[in-house]
Amino acid sequence: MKRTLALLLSLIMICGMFAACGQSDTTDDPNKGQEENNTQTEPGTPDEVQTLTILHTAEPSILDVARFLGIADRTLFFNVLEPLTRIEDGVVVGAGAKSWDVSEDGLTYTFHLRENYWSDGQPVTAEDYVTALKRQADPNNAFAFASDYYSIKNFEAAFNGEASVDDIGATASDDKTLVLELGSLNVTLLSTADFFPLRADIAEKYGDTLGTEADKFLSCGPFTLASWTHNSDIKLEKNEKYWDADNIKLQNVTLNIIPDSNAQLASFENGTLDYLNVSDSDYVNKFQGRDDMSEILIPAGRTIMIVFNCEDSTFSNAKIRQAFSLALDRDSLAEVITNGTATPAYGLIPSECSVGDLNYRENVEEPLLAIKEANPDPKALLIEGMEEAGLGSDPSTLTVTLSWGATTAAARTYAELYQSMWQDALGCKVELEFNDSSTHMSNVGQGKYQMASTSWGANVEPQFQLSRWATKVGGQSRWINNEYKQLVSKAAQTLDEKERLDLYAQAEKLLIEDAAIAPVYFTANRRFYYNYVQGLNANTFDTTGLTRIYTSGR
Amino acid sequence: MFEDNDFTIVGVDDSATESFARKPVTYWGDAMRRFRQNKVAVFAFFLLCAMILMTVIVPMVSPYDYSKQDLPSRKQWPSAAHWFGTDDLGRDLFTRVWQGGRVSIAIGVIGSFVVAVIGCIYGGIAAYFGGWVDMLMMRIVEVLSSVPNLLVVIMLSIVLDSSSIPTLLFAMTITGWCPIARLVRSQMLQISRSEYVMAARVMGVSPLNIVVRHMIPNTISIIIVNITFRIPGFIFSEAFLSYVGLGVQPPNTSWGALASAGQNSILFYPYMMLFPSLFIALTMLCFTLMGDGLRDALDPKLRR
Amino acid sequence: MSKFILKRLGYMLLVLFAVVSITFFLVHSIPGDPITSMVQDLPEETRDAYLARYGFDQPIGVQYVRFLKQLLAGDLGSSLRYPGRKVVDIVKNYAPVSGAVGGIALMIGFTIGIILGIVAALNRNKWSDKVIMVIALLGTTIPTFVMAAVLQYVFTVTFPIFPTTGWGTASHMVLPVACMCLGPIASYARYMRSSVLDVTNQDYILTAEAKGVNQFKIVMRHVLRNSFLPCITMICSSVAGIFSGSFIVESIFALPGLGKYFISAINDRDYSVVLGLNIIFTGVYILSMLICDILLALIDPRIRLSNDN
Repeated sequence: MKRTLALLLSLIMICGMFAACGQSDTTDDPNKGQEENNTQTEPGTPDEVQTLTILHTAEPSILDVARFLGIADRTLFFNVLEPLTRIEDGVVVGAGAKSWDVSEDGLTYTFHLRENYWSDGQPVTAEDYVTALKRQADPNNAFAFASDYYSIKNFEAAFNGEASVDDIGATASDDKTLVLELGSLNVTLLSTADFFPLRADIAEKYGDTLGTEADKFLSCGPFTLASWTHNSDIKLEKNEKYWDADNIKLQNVTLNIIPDSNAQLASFENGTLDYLNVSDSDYVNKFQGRDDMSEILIPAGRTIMIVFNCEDSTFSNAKIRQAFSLALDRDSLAEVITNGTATPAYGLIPSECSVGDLNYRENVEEPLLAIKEANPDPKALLIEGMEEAGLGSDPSTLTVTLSWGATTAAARTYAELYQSMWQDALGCKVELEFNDSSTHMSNVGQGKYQMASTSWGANVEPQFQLSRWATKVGGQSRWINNEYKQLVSKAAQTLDEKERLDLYAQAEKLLIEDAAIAPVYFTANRRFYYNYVQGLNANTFDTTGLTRIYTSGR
Repeated sequence: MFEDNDFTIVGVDDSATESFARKPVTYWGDAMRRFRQNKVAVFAFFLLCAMILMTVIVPMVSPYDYSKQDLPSRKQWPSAAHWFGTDDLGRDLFTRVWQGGRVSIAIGVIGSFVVAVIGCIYGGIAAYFGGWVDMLMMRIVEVLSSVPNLLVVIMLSIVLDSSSIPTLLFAMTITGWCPIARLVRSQMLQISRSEYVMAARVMGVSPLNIVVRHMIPNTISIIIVNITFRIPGFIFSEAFLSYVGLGVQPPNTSWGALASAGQNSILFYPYMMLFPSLFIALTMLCFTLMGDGLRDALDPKLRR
Repeated sequence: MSKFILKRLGYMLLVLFAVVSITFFLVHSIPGDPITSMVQDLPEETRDAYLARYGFDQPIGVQYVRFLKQLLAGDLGSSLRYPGRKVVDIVKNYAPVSGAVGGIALMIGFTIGIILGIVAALNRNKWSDKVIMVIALLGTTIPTFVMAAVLQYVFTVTFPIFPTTGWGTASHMVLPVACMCLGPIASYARYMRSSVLDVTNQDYILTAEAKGVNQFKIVMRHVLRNSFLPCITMICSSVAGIFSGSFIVESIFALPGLGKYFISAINDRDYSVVLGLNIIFTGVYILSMLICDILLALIDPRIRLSNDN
């Protein structure tokens, strides 16, 4: 019996070994494959048949521009609808609109639309963009991203039910001219908000079920939505009526919806998927050893951070917060958690953000670096803070809690890393609290935590990330600083790029010096692709979708 | 062939009728004796004791602390320095496995035992009384089984802020006894119609006594099988509970937590998941063999 | 018998009511709501607008009454996480997937398990018995996620025989079914073995053997029927569990099934889906318990006779 048991267990181990055998004996050379890390892949002769199969991260919630809930949905919209503008190579370019004029006071935008058609043959008109905005402003739809459009005149009022949706500052002066009136100056409007069109008659025809199935949706973008099998896949086809159809090479695209990461990796490894973002360090090594794959590093424009609850009795003291921030070994965290893909962060704004032509990070030093120099001993800083707050001067009497919004085994490992760093460097006791993400989000939103792990994605301009702490309650950190709020709102209205950058820098410095957050690292995605995939680019904020991709030599 | 004058009548020795063929033995005494005769079961028992001993001793004498992270030695395969290898954070897995064993064996055994006891008594009473008592009790079981377990657990994790072992046991056993209750009830429905139960009832034996002394021993084999089955289930459900924050808190660990932590690395570092699972399997094996032995020992029908 | 069934159906409604009410209050008392789960920092106004639109800002009692009224009108509601999708449609589309995979796995697991159990019991303590017990041991202690991950890797990457994920053809079903049948094989083998051992120790089997009845006939006529009884209860509860599916297998193989949907709905705080699916699962479960009791009464002569008395 024991022998049989041992035999069977060995069989299982052998199966596992089988898998490990596939891994070539590459030396741990992180630079291998790094030569591919340029912003554009090599061009080649396009294949006759152009198909692509890639991963779609989650089942779309609903394909209605006024009711969608997920970021993955927005990514899909850029492929099947034509927004007024897109971000290409980091700058705003015309898409649905071939050009636009901005008035002297910056409050009126006049868009001149291109010739474009819906998949049923009808032309795309300015009224379609107006319909979409009206629907987004309608409180009955409870549009989750409404606040992005508040600078449009009466939008906020309509959304709160205080004005009619017909009063919002969006009008179609003729079929091809759209006029947007702003209620307050917002120079970053086009890089922070997306304007998609929606046909009024289609919205009325399908009502509540608009966008729940492929046949209840009309496309006008580079691709049309050919089919959607819920929780399984989405199929796109090239839209021949698209205004730029000549430059789109892909004919068919299949988006597979696979939630499990091991399944995703297996799908990529056996060639079902054509490219994939890979974070698991063992798989990274494995794929780097394969000749038929290449790698491109795409910064994600996302800051992973610890937020401190400034209303909490312990963390209302800035020195205590700063001590916890400084005690983190950001290099180790980035190395262990992301296998070196991420960059340690000593500021809020990641290096992909820019203000017009000026790259933000190149012009502004990360504020925490200077603070770190000035405070080499976080423990001493903690004791100072504790004494100020009347908590005694012995860190070993201090117990704090870190709240984490995931309950997977990996999450526990990462949280334990933070825990041990703080306990070793500061001598205090750190307890860990794990909740599923809904509970965590709810708790953080209501200020029921001491320290919490969160992350924030950025837009092209630092405006978006900075504004998260300029809200009424002071953002997730409940950090209310009027000087900060003024800086942020002034920046939104400053046309001059150098001045704007300066204002952002001042705001970021305030945020970091007062330790409302402890930035940890900026994430990046390591994308592996088969060599026949061409046209991938590493521009984080581009919203060109799949338009530039093609295959060559499949 | 025999003939009539080959035998003479000796007579009856009256005193012989008073002597017993063997010493009087109680039910439990007999059971213990039969158990001890079963070599395999005894071996399993000692193996289990050995494992329990290891869980107590190893974390105390090991040169590695189960919670100390050692980042440079992450993810190492088993070697002379680390008999079971190291985990994602460089911690020695040999020490961690035995540390985890403390929680797992305790919870797995106690949990499934508690659940079995509650289930048995509940099912027995329902089967014995029948009628509307049975109807009501079974409906309650249906209600409790149908409320989504995940919801109950999330709710508990919020209401009971602490994560001590009793809290953990409570969360795991709160609905865990339902399947056993149903199984026991259906088995006992058959037994409650038998004559000796009727006789006991007529004699006026209290219902609880009937359930405990007559019905349960006769369903003991099914119950024991069920208990041995549930043990790995309980060990894994403890890991599941730690997902919602109720299980053992890091850096403390359990076999289930270790197995789940090794989940992502199965294809590259199978040893991370292999060793905890191996010991879960061994524990279950011990209980299975002991369970078989117990069943043979306790089943009155097999009494010789 | 029909009065019995009617009475049980009546109780079923009561139980459904109790379950749904408990679930309702449970799901509305844990922190989080559908929109906070999906969208990160939500401005207060958007969250308020969302809650107002769906009526979640009203006191829980009011919401409960509204929910009951809706239910009695036959409307199970629409999903909140996936706006516009009705719960009924979700069940219609996803239940067949879980049902097919779970059902086939159960049938295979059950058949093989029963056979193995009988063989093990009849060859007690011999080599075959021990092998089967080891298989049963492995089936219970190997976690499903391990089985699934290993099978997926070996049979879709190392030997690309089957598709990695997805749903549509027969070859999509092979690996998920393989993962899910190991558990039933193990448990049915174990239970059957124990049950058969019990039965073979009974006097009437001894009598039959003494009478010289052929071993095979004994098994088919006496052993099989009598040892089958405990398994009926197990089968019925397994059948009920088919539709709630296996979350792990459905996630790993990206199957559009109800199990994954249900757990995701709880995590996303999608109230309507949680409650709607709960009602359906409970209904299926209670029905299967009813069928189980009827079957037991029909098949077990002892119960049948004593009932007639």
